[in-house]
Amino acid sequence: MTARTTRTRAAFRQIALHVVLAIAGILVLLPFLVMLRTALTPDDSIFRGTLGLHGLTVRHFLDAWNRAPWAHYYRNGLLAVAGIYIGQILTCLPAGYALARLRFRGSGTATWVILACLAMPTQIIALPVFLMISRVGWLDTLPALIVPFVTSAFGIFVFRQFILTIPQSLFDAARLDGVGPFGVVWRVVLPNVRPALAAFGVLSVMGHWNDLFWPSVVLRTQRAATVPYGIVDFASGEGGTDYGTQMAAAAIAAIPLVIALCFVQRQFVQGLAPSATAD
Amino acid sequence: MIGAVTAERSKQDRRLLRIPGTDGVIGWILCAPAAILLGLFMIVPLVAVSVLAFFGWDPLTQTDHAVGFANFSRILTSPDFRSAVLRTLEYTVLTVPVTLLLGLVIAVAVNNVRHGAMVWRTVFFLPVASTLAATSVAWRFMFYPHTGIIDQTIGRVLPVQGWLQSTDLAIVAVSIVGIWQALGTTIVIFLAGLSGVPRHLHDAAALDGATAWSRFWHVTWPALGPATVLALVIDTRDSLRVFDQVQVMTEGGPLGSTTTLSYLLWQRGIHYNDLGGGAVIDLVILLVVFAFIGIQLRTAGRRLNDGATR
Amino acid sequence: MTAAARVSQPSASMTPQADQVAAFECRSVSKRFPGGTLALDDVTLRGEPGQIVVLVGPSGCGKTTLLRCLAGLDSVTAGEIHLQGRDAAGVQPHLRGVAMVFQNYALYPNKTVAQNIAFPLRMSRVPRRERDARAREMAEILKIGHLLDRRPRQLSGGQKQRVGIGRALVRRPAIVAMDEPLSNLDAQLRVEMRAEIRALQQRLGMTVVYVTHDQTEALSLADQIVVMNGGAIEQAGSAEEAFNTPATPFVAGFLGAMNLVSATGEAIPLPRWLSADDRDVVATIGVRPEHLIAGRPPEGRWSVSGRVISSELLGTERLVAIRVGHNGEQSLRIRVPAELPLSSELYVWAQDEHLHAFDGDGKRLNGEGVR
Repeated sequence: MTARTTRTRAAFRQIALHVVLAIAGILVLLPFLVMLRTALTPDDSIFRGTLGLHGLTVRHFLDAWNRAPWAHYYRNGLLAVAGIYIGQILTCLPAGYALARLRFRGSGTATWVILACLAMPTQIIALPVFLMISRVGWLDTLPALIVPFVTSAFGIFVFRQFILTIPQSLFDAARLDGVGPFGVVWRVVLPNVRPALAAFGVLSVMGHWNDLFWPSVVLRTQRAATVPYGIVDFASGEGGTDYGTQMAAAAIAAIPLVIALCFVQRQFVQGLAPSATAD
Repeated sequence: MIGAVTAERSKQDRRLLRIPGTDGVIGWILCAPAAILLGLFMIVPLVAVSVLAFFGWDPLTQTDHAVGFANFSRILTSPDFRSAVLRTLEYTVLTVPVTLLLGLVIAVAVNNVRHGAMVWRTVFFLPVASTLAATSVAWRFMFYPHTGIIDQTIGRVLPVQGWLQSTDLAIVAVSIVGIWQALGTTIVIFLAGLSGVPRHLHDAAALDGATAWSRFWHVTWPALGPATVLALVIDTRDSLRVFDQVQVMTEGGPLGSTTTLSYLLWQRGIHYNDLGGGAVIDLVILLVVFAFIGIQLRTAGRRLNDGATR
Repeated sequence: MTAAARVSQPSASMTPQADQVAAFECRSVSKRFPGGTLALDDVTLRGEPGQIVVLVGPSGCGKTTLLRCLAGLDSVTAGEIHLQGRDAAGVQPHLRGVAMVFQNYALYPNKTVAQNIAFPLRMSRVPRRERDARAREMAEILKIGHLLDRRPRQLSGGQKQRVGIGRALVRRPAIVAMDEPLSNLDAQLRVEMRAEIRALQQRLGMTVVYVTHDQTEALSLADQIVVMNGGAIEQAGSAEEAFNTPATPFVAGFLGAMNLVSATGEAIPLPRWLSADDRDVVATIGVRPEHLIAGRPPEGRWSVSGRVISSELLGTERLVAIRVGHNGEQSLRIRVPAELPLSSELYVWAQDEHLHAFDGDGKRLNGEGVR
C-alpha cells in the first residue's frame, strides 16, 4: 500500500465522519430551525410544509414580545441565577477548601454526606421545602427561587476535587508568608480555582435559568416568574393556536442562553472535568 | 470520582496532628454556612418527607393530623400511581440506552475529526443550554397532528399520526425530546473520558495491526469505564425527574399516559395540595433512586474501577 | 511588631562558638504521622548562624519532615525546637523567622513577579513604598529585575525559582529552609544556581537549611551535612568528615557509593590496623571504587581477587564489577583506566588508609594510630 492511498483513505474517513455528524447535527438542530422558521414566517404560509424561508416577517416577534412581560422574566431570571451563584461561591468554596485541605473531626463523614446529597433529585425535597417556604411567607417571591439553592453539594464536591489538585506547597508558602487561615480562601484558593468557578458557574446558571420544576412549585403568579415559567404560561394560556407567535416566544425564551453559551463554550466544554457534569 | 477521601485515623493521631487552635475549629467555621444550608434544605427535608407521609390535611377542620398508613394505602393502590410507575419505567427504558449509544457514537466521531470538533461539540450541547420549557413548545408544534413536521414526514411513511393524542405514542414523543436534551451532557462526559485514553496505547495497537474496530474494542472502550458509569447514573437520574416537556407537551395526558412519578408528585403534592400523598410518592422515588444507583454500581462498578486511572 | 523585625540579623560566622546562640536547635525531636509512621526518631541537631546545613538522604528518610517542623508547617510529636534560643512550640509559621523555598516554586499564579516577592511584606503590613523598594532590590540581587511585571507562567523554571528565593529572602529571615529547590531544573542550571545560592547566602549571612537527595549537591554546598535514614540522623558533621570518615555503612554507601562487603568468612581479609578487639566484632569492610587498584598487590596489602561480571565504560575510566567472597556471593566495583586490558579474573588491592570497617551495629571502627 502506498502512502498516497493511505492518505486518501484517511481523508475519506474524515469526510465520512463529518457526514455522520452533520446528519445527527441537523436532527438535533431541527427544533431550533422549525422554531425560527415558523416564527419568521407569516401565518398564512406556516403550514406550507417547506423549510424554505419566504416572505420573512418579524411581526410574530413583536407580538410575542408585547404580549408577555419578557423584560420582567429576564430580570427575575438574572437576579435568581446571580443570587444563587454568588451564594454558592460564598458557601461552597470555603467548605470545599476545608474538606480538601484541613483535617478535622467529621471531615471524612462530611465528604460522604455530600456524595449522598449529590444523587438526590430536587423532586425529593420539593414538598417539605415548599411547606417551609409557605410558612415564612416567601411563596411567589424571588427568595423562594434563590435560598434553597444557595449551597450546592455538587459545588462543594467540584471545588473539593479541584482544590485537591493545587500543590500543597502553595498553601505552605501562604502560611509562611503570614496569610491567616481564612485569608487562604480568597488569597490562595480563589485565584487558583478559576477554571472550576467558570465550569461550575456555567452549569449552575444554566440549570437554574432553565429550571421549570422549582418555579412551578413555589410560584403562583407572574410576580417572580422566570423565563421557563413565563413561556409555559404563554404557551398554555393566550398562545392558543397562534403558532408563529408561540414559536417567536419560544425563541425569545431559548435564544439568550444559547448565545451566552457560544461565548463561554471554550472554557466550558474544554475545562470540564468528567465529574463536573452531574447537575 | 471519590478521590482522596481520608482514611480513618485514630483519635490520638488526630490530636497529635493538630497545631493548637487551628484546623479543628477553622474547618468547622469554613464548613458552617454550607452545612447549615445543606441541613436545612436537604437533610431536614429528607427526614420531613417521611413524617409528612403519615400526615393528612383535613379541609373541614383546617388542621394537619396523623393518619397512620392511610396515605400509603390510598396512593399505593391507586391506578394513577401504578400507571405512573410503569410510565416512569417505560420512559427510562426508552431514553437511557438510546442516549448512551448515540452519545458514545457521536462522541467518538467528534473525537476523531481533525477540524471543527469545537463546532460539533457546541451544536450537540445547544439543547442542554436552551431552555427546555421553550424548546418543548417547538417540539409540541412539530408533533402537531397532521400539519406538524413529524406527521408530514414520518407520518406519511409509517402509520403513526397524532403522537401527542395517542396514549401509546405520547410517551415515545416525550422520550424523544428527553433523548434530544440529554444527549449533550452524555457526549461531554464521553468526550472527557476519551481525552483520557492514552495515545500511546492507540499507537501501539495500530502498530500491532489492529483494525479501527478492534482498537475501539480493546483500547477505547475499556478506558471509557468511568465515563460510561457516570453517564449511566446521570442519565438515569435525569430520567427519573422528567418534568418540563411533559408539562409543556402533554400535561401528563392523554389519559395519564405520560404521567411519570415525578410529574405525579408535582400534580398531587403541589397542584392538588395533597402533601401527604405527595410525600408517599416522594418516598417511592427515593427508593427507586437508591435501587437504580445500587444496581448500576453493582453491575457497572467493576467498569468504574477497571478504567479508573484518571 | 513585624515578622521581619523580630528576627535579629545573624553574623556570617562560619566557625561555631560555644557561647553563641544556635540559629536552630532540635532536641530529641520525634514526629509520628497519622497512621503510625515514625517520620522523625529522636533527632537532635544544632545549626550555627551563617551555616548551610544540608539534610540529605533517600526519599522517605524524614529530611523534608524535619524541615517542615522547623518552619512550623508540621508540629512535632515529642521534643523541642529552639529558634534563636527561643522555644518555638506553638509559634505560628510566619512568626518564626523561617522562610521557605519549594521544589515546585509555589508562586501565586495570579500575581506578578513583583507582587509575589512583595507579598510576605504586604502580609506583615510593611508600607507599600518600602515593600516595593525591597522587592525591587531583591529582584536586582537575583537578576530578575527586568521580569518584575511578568506572571509566573511566563517564566522559565530557573526564573521561577529565583522568584521563589526572592519571596523567601525579602523578609530577611534568620533561617531559609530550602526543600529540594533545584530538583526541577536541568543539570547545567542546577550547578549554576547552586553556586548562586552559596554566594547569596554568604552575602546576606543567613542560615540555610537545605534538603536534597542529591549527594553531589549536598557535598558541594554543606557547611554541615546531615545524613538521614529512616527518620534518624546517621551522621552530622562537615562534608569532608562525612565523606572521609563515614560513621555508618549507610553514610558510606550513600555518599560516594562505597563498596561494602561482609567481613565474615575467610575470603575477605581484614585491615591490618584493626585492633584485636575490633577483629572480633568487625562485620563490614568498606572501600571506595576509586581507591581500589587493579593488579598484583605489594606484600602485606589488603587485597582480594574475583571474576569480572560486568564492565561499563565511563569515558577515560571503566567501572568494573568483580565477584568476591566465599562463594562469590558479594561484589566489588572498581574504577580502572579504560585502556587497561581486562582478564576474566582480577586482583585488586587498596592502601590501608583507604579501608573502612564497621561493626555489626553499624558503628565505625577506627583501629589504633594507623589512621
